[in-house]
Formats: sequence, structure tokens, C-alpha cells
Amino acid sequence: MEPLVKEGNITVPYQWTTGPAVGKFLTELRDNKKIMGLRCPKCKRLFVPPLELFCGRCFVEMKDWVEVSEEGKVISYTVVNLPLPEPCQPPLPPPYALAAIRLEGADTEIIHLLGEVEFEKIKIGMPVKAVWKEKREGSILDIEHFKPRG
Amino acid sequence: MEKVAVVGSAQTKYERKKESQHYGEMVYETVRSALDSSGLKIEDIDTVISASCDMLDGRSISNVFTAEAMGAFQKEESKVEEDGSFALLYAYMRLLSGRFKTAMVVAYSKGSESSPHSYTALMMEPFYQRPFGLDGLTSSALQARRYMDKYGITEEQAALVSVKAHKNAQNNPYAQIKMDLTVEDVLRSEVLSSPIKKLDASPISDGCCAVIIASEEKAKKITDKPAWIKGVGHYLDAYYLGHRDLAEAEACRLAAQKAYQMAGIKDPLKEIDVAEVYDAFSYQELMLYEALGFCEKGGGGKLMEKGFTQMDGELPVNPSGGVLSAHPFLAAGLARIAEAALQVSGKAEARQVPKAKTALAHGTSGVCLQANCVWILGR
Amino acid sequence: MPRKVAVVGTGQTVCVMRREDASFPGMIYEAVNRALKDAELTLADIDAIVFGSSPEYFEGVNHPEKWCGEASGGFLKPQFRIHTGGTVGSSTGIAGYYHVASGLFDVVLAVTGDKLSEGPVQLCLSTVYDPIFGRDFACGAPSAVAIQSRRYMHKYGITEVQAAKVAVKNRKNACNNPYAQLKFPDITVEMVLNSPVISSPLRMLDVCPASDGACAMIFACEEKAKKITKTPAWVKGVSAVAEGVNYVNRDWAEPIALIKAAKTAYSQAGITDPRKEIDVAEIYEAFTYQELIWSEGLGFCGPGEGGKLIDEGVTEMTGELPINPSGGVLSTNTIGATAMMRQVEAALQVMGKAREVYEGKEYNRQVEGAKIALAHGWGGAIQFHNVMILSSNPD
Repeated sequence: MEPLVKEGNITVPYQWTTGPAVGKFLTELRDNKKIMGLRCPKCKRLFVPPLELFCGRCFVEMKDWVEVSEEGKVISYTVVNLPLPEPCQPPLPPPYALAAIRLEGADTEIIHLLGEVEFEKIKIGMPVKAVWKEKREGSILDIEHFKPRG
Repeated sequence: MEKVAVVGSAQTKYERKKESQHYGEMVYETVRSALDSSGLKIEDIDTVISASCDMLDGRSISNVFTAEAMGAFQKEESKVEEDGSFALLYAYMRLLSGRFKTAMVVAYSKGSESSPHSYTALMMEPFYQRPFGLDGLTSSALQARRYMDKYGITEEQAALVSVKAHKNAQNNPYAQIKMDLTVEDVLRSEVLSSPIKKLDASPISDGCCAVIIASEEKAKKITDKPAWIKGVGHYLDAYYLGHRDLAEAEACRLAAQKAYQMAGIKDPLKEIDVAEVYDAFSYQELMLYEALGFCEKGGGGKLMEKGFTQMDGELPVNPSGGVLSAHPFLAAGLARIAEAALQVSGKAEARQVPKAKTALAHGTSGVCLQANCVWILGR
Repeated sequence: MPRKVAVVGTGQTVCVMRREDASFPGMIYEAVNRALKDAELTLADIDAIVFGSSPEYFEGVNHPEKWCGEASGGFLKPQFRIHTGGTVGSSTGIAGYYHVASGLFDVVLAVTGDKLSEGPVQLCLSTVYDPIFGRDFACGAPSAVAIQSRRYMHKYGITEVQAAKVAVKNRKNACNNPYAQLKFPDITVEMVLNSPVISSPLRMLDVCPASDGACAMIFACEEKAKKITKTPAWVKGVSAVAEGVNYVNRDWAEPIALIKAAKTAYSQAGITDPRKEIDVAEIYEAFTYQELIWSEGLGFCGPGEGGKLIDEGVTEMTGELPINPSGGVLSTNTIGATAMMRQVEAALQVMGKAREVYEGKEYNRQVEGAKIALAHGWGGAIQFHNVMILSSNPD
């Protein structure tokens, strides 16, 4: 007897609440082309991007919003070749490059795409700069990608 | 503190697709096997703790439909939605409290019925990480590159892990991928997300693992070869990938320290006879050597090269073939404990490390070794 | 004998239909902070954390305990997640208890929550149904409970009016609880009976709301508990039992898992006459009929007498055994935190802290002299039941 298979899908529409920290970070991207971080009053780390209004390490509120440079360097990267199934698709088809980028002034890395670069030329420590979209909507993708600079 | 031991276990043969079995049947088969091989009946089990994931199963409250299959009808029961090694921890706590004397711990998943990419991609919050389609593979690739860059680890060193894993798997009747590989085979395999190549990565698997633990008095009646729990530790690291140094498995380090402290272990490389670690990717095993204290920071690659962790080395790691040979989500960590227990009890057949007295088992949950649970078992 | 464990602090967020001002981790952080403040502790005093939330589809993030890890206080601390459906709140509380009872940890924080407003709740609840046999018919939670309610009415002659009285009692009680979402000071039985039918026999006012909220509680071993607070709430009995889904002769009106869980918990706590010995109960009545069925399962009255219990006013605030002074689940249902709120409210009762001034207004839901309280949760395909007994007396 052939095994019988039932196909199905679970599709759920969402309206995710960003909360005040993510909300402000994304709003600044959209409205002012600014990349902001939150500094912990205790450990002094500048979290870019900030996930919440509190420092997870010190468990205290962070109120100090600080703008960081849109320039930084590559701390790690990967060139993705594998096409990935739905849901949760990347913004481009493979191959594309993802990187962890330490922006000047930040104490954490931001994960984003690397663009306008030949994959073989990507190096750790490579200086990069944000490339902004013309039309921005309050999303991490308001930055199109980071490209090599200098 | 009450002494508790692993007194029995069962694993399914891990396969890409178990299409002839429904979840419940797979779970029942494993639980039945664990009971039968331990000489126990379901009535002998005081409490049942399971590990399963709703999104992976495609049904919310996943234990609703498998509770009966694991013998939890009218029993004290709960579910830990983490890797099975954490479920065992909760069961261990229940036994330590004295309220229960025996526990059945079950962890399972069917990667074939869902999308393993989704399983990890949906762990990403919707704002900063999900828009890039980041998942377990691509985030581990970022981790691997960072680790390589920080400590000069090479792709060849990582490839040695895969070669060892798939060779060891040949001795494990449950393992899914058994191969005779060379380092060149690994290096030439398709690059999925650099630097992770196909043979650096674990497969997609269906499978179930069940472990039975019992308090001292009962344990001694059930088996003459109990694998006593000597120590355990569990810790969680930061969530957003950029908020921690991915080259350091800090939470694993802390978990191991706690487990060693409980077990009275001061020199892991010398005092541990065999280890089963959760190596979803070859690089992660090298990172784990460091986090578990088998070598200094950055020394994972060299330790592998020197052969310390081979079957004939000083501290064989993953005689079972590890997660690189079979990766049923949630069950994989519990399977590491089952394997470690088999080693200590002298029941690991063709993959037995001779005279293994003390074993380490490691499980992880989340991506990039975010949450870790480390166990020490001994005679 | 297990180590003695007590609840030494609690925290809840004010529950509303949608928190626009906070993300899911943000709400968790709030609840954790409130519990720490209540116990006058800092995170450094916490040895381990247990996190609970219900089906991931609600927030659309898998393994949310990772996303909420730092918010739960879990950065480089021991933490893991419990998820057992509707009982998750109480299962997490029970896991927190076992963390301490095991002797592995002395002070443990248990935190739960859900943000149901992120997605369509009933669609997500429909994913509970089995994909092969049930999902094509799934109509969320109300239709499953409607079947239970109808069976219960038929078996024992329970009436719509008796069920409606539960709604009236609890929604009025909610006015004394600053954290409750729905407060209807002027609700009447007529209003309930005239509200639209959702899934017969359940009407709109027979049914719980969907809330955004979080809740936390701190458990401590005896030695530490006595130092942390003058009024610990001692855990005297815990039980979490599962029954089956589709087993032969399943009677939806006879909750065998609850009967067993209650029996176990009473035996541990040395309770032989629950109706007399329990001073207050917080039970999980997501739907009005359930308060009556669970009262029977808990032994507050005989089988079929649930209706009589409410008719005689036994469970009113002024009655012999007040049920749900907090307003219960009919007033607030985050799903994730709900069953823990029952444990928190029960703890507040025996700690004598079920009264407070919130934003300048006084709220009082304290049952005077309450010494022994019961907290209950249910979940799954109405097959999981948890019971916890708390007492102001350690012995």
C-alpha cells in the first residue's frame, strides 16, 4: 500500500509590534537615513541595532540614543549559494553575501547584505558604507546593502 | 542529593523520510522499545517529559497528539520546547525532588514533513534578521567565518571533523549518513553558504529518542549497569547574532563549568573518556572542544589535527557519528545523552570506547550554540 | 520529602487587547521587573529562569524563549522554555517549583506571557487540531469547548442561566483587579443571555477575551524564602496530569485528568475536604460552563452539582469558597500567562497581598484570612490539567 500524504500549509498574517526600541531604530532609518544605537548606562556598550529598551547583560533601561556612522568594517561574512524555500525568503536570489558589520562607534555588529562587490574580494576587516534606498518604509531593508568604500 | 541514573534508552533509525510512520507511531515505537529493552512496563513510569516543536510539527501544542503515544495517559506530564537534553534536565529535577522515582523522556521530530529552513528561519525576530532569510545554516556560516578569522582555524581542520563523523557513523546502526570520506571530498563538496560546504553540514532527518531515568533504589533494580548522572549545567547566550562574539560559545563554557563542578571534574581532557557533542556543523565541533575545556581558546583545530578526538585518541568525540550523521531536531541532543549512557554502561557495541567510565553529553537549542546543556555521566 | 519551596514575589502586566507600546520581549521584561521589585531582589539573586509561552504561531516567532531570552533575565543564565498549550502558565510555575525542589537552584524566576494581538488568534488556535482528522473542521477554541459544554448540559441538566451567573460573578470581580482586561460592573444574567451566539451554546459573554500580557513569579527554598519575605506562599501540592484526546468512551463532561491531578495535589497538601479546607480558588474558566465542570472535578461539589454551587452563591466573594476573585480567565486571557496568573493570584491571596493602590485607585480582591489557596489550569484538547496548592503555613 502506498503511503498516503496530506499536503498542507499554515499561513498566518501578522501585525508585529516593534516596541519602542526597534520602532525608533527603523523610524530613523526611514525618516532621517540615520543609524541609531542605545547605550547602556552601566556597561557603556552601544547596541546597534538595539533589540529592546533595556540592556540584556545589565538588565537596566537604556535611554541614551546615539547616532553611529553609516561606515564600518566587515567582521564576518558568508556568500549564500543555497536557494531557500518559503517562507522567510532573503531579498535577493542566491548567490548573495551576508555580513556582520561593526559600524564606527558601535560595540555590536549589524547583520546586513554586502553589495556592489565581487564575492572573491570580500575580506574580513574590509571597510564598507551603507547604501540607502530612495523609497524607505521603516524596515531594515531601507538600507539596500553595504558596499566597499575607500 | 539523590542519585539518578539513565537506565534505558531507545533510538529510531534516523532517516531522511519515515514515510510509513505517523508521528505518533514513531514515538510509540521508540517508547515501547525503551520500555522493553529495560524490562519495564508503562505503569513503572512515574512521569513523562517530552520535547517537540509546534512549528516543526505543524500542529500547535505538539504534545496533545503524542502524549498518549509516549505513555502519558493519566500521568504527570509536561513538555519542554527545547532540545531533548533540556527535557531530560526537567525530568532529572522532578526525580531529585523526591516526588518521582522514574521518568520517561521523549524527543522527536520529522524534518521531512516540514521545512528545516523554516524551523530555524522562523526563530529569527521579524525586524532585523528575518528579512534576510537568515536561518541556522547562514547564521552558522557567519559564525564559522568569524571563528576561522579570529583563531586561524582552517577549512581542512573542520573537514577532519566530517571525515571522522561519517566514518564513526558506520559503527552506529541508528546513524543516517555513513561514508568513507577524505578531506578533499569535503573541501570539494558544494558550498552552501561559505565557508560551510555540503559535507560540513548535518543532514535533514526524521527520528525519535527516548531515555528512561530512575532514582538510585529503582535504578539498581532495573539494571546492573546504570549510567549515573554526575553533573549537569545549562546556560543561554545573547539572541541577536551581532550582539555576541560568535566565535565564543560562552554559554556552553559556563554550562560545562557547572557540570564539571557538580561532577568534581578538574581536567576534562584527562578525566572524560568519551564525549558526544551536538555538531550540527563541522566548525561547531571544534568550537565545542574549546568551550568544553578540552583545549585552550582557539585550539580546536589543532586538537582535531593531533587526533585526540578520534576513536583511538585520548578523548574520542562522537563515536556515534554525531549530529553530522543524523540531525533530527530536538531528538539529537537527547540522543547524545543516550549514546553517552550506552558508552558508560558498556552497551555501545561496535562504537564502544573501551573501558569508558565517564562520558560527557552536550545538547544545544537555538542557532549558533545559543543555549547549551552539558551532562556528565559515569559509572 | 521534597525540599520546601515558596513563592516570594510576583509581577503582572496590565492586560489589554493590544499593547502598541511594547513588543513581546518588552512585556516579558516588564513582568520580570515587577516580580523582582515585589520580592526586593535583583537579577543577580536569581539562579535560573523558566520561560513559558503558548503556541508559537501567536507571535509568529519559533522558540520565542530565545528572542525573549535577555528580557526574561536569561543572559548567561540557565533558562529554558516550557510549552504545554493553555496550561503553559501553570506548567511553567510548576517547573519553577521543581527547579528549586530539586536542590539544583535556590531562587528561580518563572515568567510567562503572550501577545495574542500580533496575529489572528482563532486561526492560530485552529492549528491545534490534527491536520489529518480535525483541521478541516477547525473553528478555533470556542467550538471545542462548546461541544464540552453541550455534553455537560445534557448529562446533568446544567442551564444557560447557571453558566451566565459565572460570567456575572467573574466580570464583577474583575473590577477589583487592576490587571484585568474586561471589567463589567453592571453586567447581568440577561445581558449574557442576550449576547450573540458564537458557537452554541456559547454566547459572546460566555467567552474569554484575547489579551496581551505577561506574568512572573519567584520561587525560593525555605532558607532563602524566609529572608526574602515575611509572607511566603508555600507550595504544598503540585500536579500536572495529561489524559487522552480521542480515547474510547471519553466523556467530555468528566475531566479525569483534573480529578487525578486534584487528588494528587490534595494528598500532598494533606487536604481531605477541599470545599471546607480551601479558602479561595483561582481556576481556569476560559468559558463559563468550565467553571462549573472544573468545580466538580476539583471536588468542590459532587458530579453534576456545579450549577447548584453557583446558584447557592458558594463561590461568590462572600461565599464559602470564593472562586476567581481576580475576575478569572473570562476577564483576561493571554493564554501564555493565564494559568500562571491563577497561581500568582492564589499566592497573593495567602500572602495577604491581593489588594493594592494602582495609579491612585484602590483595588481590593483579598479574601480575608485566606490561608490555603488553589490554582488550576487546563489546556490542549481539554486534556491537560494542572493543580497547585499554596499555603501561608510552611508545615
